[in-house]
Amino acid sequence: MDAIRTALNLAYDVKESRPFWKTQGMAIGITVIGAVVVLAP
Amino acid sequence: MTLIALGGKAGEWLADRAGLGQVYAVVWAWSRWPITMLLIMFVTAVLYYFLPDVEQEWRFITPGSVVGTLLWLLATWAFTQYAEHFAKYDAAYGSIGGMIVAAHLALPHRADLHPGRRDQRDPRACRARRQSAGRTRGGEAPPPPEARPSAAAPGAAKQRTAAIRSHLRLLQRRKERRGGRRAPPTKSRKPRPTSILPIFPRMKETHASPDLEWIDQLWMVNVPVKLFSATSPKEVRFHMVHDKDGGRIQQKRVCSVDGEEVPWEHIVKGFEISKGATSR
Repeated sequence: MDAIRTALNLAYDVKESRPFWKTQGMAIGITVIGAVVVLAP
Repeated sequence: MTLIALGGKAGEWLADRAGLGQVYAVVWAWSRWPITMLLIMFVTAVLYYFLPDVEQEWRFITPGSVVGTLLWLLATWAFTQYAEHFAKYDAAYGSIGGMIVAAHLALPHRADLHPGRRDQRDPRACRARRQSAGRTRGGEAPPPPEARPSAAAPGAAKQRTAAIRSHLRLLQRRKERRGGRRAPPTKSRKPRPTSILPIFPRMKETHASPDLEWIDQLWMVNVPVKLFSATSPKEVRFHMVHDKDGGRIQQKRVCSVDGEEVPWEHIVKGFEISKGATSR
């Protein structure tokens, strides 16, 4: 997720302005939610 | 995938009650793919919306999400073929093989998602299906819900559906809050980007050649390469030195006719035809 975020920021030609805890928390959160949505039996 | 797996069983149960089990099996077998696509496109849209540090409107269907979803489905299909025809996961790993397959790509191709194959593996489901098919043909009522192997599915599916709905509502509320708090989109802090890979959500038509724009982006990928020698010199090496003053000995290319040093641009190749006669 963090890699996708970095790549999208590069593609949009913007620098990350959100704080570290926000970006990392978002990456972890999306990963967990995505895992639940995709993998839950 | 939860919805796909459990929604199938819940719908199967409902369809059996209504006497449409056969029709439902066909419909579900085909509608599973569009539903999967929509789910993946939703996930893609979430990623495109939240991850970049750019304020943008919510777009569910983008060129990127469509392309990405189609590629994902292609990979799913290819991996299914591989897993079913070539790889012997079950033989090598037993029931853990299922988890390995699921962990690889999280694909909806396991036996419990294929109605036919589930029958082969689960005798209870097989029996229940035979019974329900016979009774449906005979005009009798389908078996009571608690006799079906998927009796627990509808409740669980409902719970999960409700959880996902509430999550969607939460997302919506968050978006509204953000919209109210921040500046309107026209006064956005960051300028809207114009140079975007085609697989990414936004592509401005105002750019000179949007079709070729993504080629620029390719050069953003740099792979630095450096060569290292894998050997190290073992013997001592000497220079040629003049014994009187220690000056280094140089080599010069000198013409044998006029005795002058000849620069490289005046040196050409020649072949000695006979003694003393050289052709250039």
